[in-house]
Amino acid sequence: MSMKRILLVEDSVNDVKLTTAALRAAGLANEIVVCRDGVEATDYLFRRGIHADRTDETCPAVVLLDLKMPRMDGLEVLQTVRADPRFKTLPIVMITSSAEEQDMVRSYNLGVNGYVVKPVTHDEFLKAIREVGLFWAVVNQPPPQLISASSGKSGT
Amino acid sequence: MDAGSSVMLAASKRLPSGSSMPELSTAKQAFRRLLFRSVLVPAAVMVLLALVLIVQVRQLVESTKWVEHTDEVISRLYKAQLTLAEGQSGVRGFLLTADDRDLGPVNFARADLPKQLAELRALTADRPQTVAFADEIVRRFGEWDTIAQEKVAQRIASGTPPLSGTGQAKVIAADISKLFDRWEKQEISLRAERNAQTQTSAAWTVASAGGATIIVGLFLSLLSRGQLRWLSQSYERALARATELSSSLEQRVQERTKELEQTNAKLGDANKELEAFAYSVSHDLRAPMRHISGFANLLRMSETKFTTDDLEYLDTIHRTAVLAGRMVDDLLAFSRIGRSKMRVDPVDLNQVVETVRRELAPELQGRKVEWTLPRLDPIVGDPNLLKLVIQNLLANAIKYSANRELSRIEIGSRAEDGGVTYWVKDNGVGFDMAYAHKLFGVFQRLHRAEEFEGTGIGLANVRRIITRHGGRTWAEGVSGQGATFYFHLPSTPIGDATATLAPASENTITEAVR
Repeated sequence: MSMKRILLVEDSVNDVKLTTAALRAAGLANEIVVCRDGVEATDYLFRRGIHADRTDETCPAVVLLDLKMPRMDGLEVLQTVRADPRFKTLPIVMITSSAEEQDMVRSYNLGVNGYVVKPVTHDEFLKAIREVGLFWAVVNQPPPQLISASSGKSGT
Repeated sequence: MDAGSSVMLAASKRLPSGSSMPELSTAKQAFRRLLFRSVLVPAAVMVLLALVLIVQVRQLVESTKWVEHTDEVISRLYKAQLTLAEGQSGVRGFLLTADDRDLGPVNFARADLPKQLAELRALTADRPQTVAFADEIVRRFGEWDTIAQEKVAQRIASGTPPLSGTGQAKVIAADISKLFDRWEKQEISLRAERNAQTQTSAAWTVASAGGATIIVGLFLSLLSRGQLRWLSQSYERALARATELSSSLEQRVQERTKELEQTNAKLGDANKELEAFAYSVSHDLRAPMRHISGFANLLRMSETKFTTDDLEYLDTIHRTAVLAGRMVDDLLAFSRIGRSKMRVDPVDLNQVVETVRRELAPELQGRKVEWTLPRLDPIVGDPNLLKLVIQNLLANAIKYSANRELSRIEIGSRAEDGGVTYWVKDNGVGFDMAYAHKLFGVFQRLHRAEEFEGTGIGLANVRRIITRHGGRTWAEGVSGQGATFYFHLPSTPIGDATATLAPASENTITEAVR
């Protein structure tokens, strides 16, 4: 079983470092692609902009999406990605500081697969990231029809 | 009429005083005066008029009586003349026939005529001339009668009728007749005079009644015209004033409404701002705390060799950051309690206590706790918020009795004051009643943080929730001997609109873990 890629969309450098460290600490050796805002994340998924010449055609096993980001926030990313039939089933998990009910409701309405509030204590944070990473990148079977954007394009 | 016109003058003099804007009381007085004038003044005028007319009519009746009196005198005069004439013809008849029957009228005249004349004399006693007439007639009749009696006696003695009279009796009778005629003439002219007087009096009565009616009518119409004008003027003034008042009132209401709308809009803006602030705090302030504790933890977990002191510092950094993060979380939860919509349902607190005890079970590991849990009275309120209250109070009771060999926790309730008072009692560290007022404030602690964990928001949440239900909270405690926390809930919770915006003055930043 090849190591499936994890797409981490997070604007805070510290959170990128902590999440990455947590994933590593969980023993997940998967490739982690980091996008620093919503625009970059959608560019990556749709293989356009700075990611136009992305060579690999597979989709990430899971997208760990922050909510509050500059330019394009997590909810907008969700909306854009879910609007495309190719990404209807792409696993997306919100990893956010916001425990606001309205954010949760809107995220689920836009078709998010999970919603994780970043725990305050680091131990709990490590635990949460490990569980999310293990479940989505190892345990979970991705939908078979899930293919990359480019192959989707070539397939038509 | 004079009285009436003077009243009218007085009334017209008073009218202008009403033209200046009167106060309410003076307006009332003016209206009372108006009523007085329009009822009493016409009544007085009519009474006066009636009196005048009565006098007039009495005069008329009086003069009519005098006419009748004169008529009676005249008719009595005729009667007296007739009596005399019958007497004369009786004498004449007897002298011719010696028939005794003819003497009847003579005897009657002899007896009655003086009587009749005495009556006539009495009726006209006010006039000397008629008295003189009466006396003269009586005297002359006496003369005539003497002659007549002589002749009657001669006839009886002679047995034959006399050939002719001496004529003396005839002369006397003619004189008497003349006297009667003169008297009659006087009476007739008197009657004519009195008739004319009566007619004049009647004309005067009619004229004065008509004139008075016209004058009174004119006066009344003038008076009521003035009063109606005054009334309509004051009505118009009142109307103008009312319109002015209502328009200014309307204007004021509009202004106030505008102000309120502005204030409302400002409040709405402030509320939105506050929510945006809370949101960014939740996201932005929590993040650095997580980062600090995260990196400190990562450092601690690394391969690096740290001294014991270094490790303690790292732990402190970690713990402090976690605490700061929790405080942020708790503060957000606290503000959410104030903002969230409140449900009102029947709540079985017995069940809530059981649920909370199950949730708190991990805290009780290795602890000996003696629970006293009688059946609690039912209440209505928001189930989630009331659960939070029980959670906070039980967690506190467990936490602050941790240093006891045997923790005793008692929960109870009693119905009172149109609601139910609940309490949670423990045998823990208690508190000094001198600081009781600080218990329910935000971030207020009565114990050092290293003694007991917690951010100091729990009791502030309790108070906020109970206040939103329209209830109240208080506590009793003895330092070192335990504490009892009470909350009273009304049977029918009041609306929470006030509590939603209430900045909770007493717990501004005073709070909660004792």
